Amino acid sequence: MQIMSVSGFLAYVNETFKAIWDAQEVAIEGEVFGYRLSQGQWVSFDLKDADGLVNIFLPVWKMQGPPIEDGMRVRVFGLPRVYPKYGKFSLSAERIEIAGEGGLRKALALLRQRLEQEGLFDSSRKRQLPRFPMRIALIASRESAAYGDFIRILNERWRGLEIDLYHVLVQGENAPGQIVRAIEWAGRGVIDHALVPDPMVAGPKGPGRNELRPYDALVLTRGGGSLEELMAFNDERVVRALYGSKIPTLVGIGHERDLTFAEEVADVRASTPTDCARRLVSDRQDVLYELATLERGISEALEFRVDQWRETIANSIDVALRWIKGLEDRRASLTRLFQSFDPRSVVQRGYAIISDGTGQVRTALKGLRPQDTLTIAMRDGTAETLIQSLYAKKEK
Amino acid sequence: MPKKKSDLDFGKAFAELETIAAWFEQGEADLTQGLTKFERAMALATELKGHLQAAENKIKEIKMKHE
Repeated sequence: MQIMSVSGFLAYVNETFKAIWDAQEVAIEGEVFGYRLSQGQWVSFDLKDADGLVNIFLPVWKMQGPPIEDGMRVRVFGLPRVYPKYGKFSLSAERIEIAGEGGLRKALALLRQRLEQEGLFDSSRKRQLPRFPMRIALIASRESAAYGDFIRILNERWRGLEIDLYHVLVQGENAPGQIVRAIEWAGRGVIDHALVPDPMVAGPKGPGRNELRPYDALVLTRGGGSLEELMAFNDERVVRALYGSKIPTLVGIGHERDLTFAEEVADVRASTPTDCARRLVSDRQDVLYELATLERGISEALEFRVDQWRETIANSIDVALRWIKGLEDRRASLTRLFQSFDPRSVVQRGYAIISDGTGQVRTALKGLRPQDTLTIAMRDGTAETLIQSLYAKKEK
Repeated sequence: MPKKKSDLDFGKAFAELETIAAWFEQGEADLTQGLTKFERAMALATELKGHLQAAENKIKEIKMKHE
């Protein structure tokens, strides 16, 4: 016979469960009943089916999927365990999945309501992508067709982009964590390549090699899939990380039906990975055409200006010439005027100029006396003469 | 880092070219300024076209340490 203490027995039972139970591979499916959150930290509820009930217990941070509520069918992964203090048997859950598309849709509807109320999908906060992005953070799976399509269209349309690929899983339970991490890494903007050696980047590492400018856009893309496969893009953590991104976000998921929350929270949404590339960059042929048009416009405008300037100069010369001609005319008429005052021209017409002994021209008798000498200037010379007598005119 | 051809900020350069085109449209009539702007515009256009014709897209993978 072997005697065990109560706590020893419970420890033995718990160790046994741990040894035989595969918490990763086996899930218990049932309906949620009495869901409650205590102290903001612990979630507990009962999982029921027609004939049984088991208590589920887990810390709230492990609740990573869409919110659950009473009546939902869920699958619980975890470890069976007896809580020693109260001897209570429960399933200590590691993760919970919502079972069936109906349940999933219901859970998503709840999450949507909450995110919408918080304003995460508000169109007023949507930013525009820059017209010519240069550095892009691409979050995608390197093996996916989505990645291939996106890069192909990008290469067809534009050149000179710097694309940093953050390779992530795009489905499965690890996908949301990886995507969130990639968004956070990209958000830091400056990637220290000294710490992250990349064999694909050739060339010497000069100073300032690590000082990269922030990304112009953050692109998250994957191809289509079922609702379950796209769950990473409905994950609240991913949605919040996108919401908090300082870099403008572009999300494109190929699908036919409902939008994922990641697309709804994105600044710009694209319908497929190909559409993502189209929305991100212009077609370079269009831009080359636009450049040619701008160039032609500027050349023509300059030619027009030069013509105008030429005409202005020609007009100015005309005005100057007219001004000079005016001066010339004025000079000629003044010359004629001065010529008419030239005393020599008077002498030519039969008049004479009389001056006294001092050379002063005399036009009156005043101051003259008989026997004074006068000089008479005529057309071809002068004559000196004595005044015989003076006869003044009677004043009237 | 010294300015290389690949460091061209396409968006800024394109916007500058558009501004010059708008200046010419407005019909400012300063010959010296016009010629300076014309030269700048032609240099920008050449650089932008060169960027689109010669450059390739560079893709590199960022290695994240997953916890």
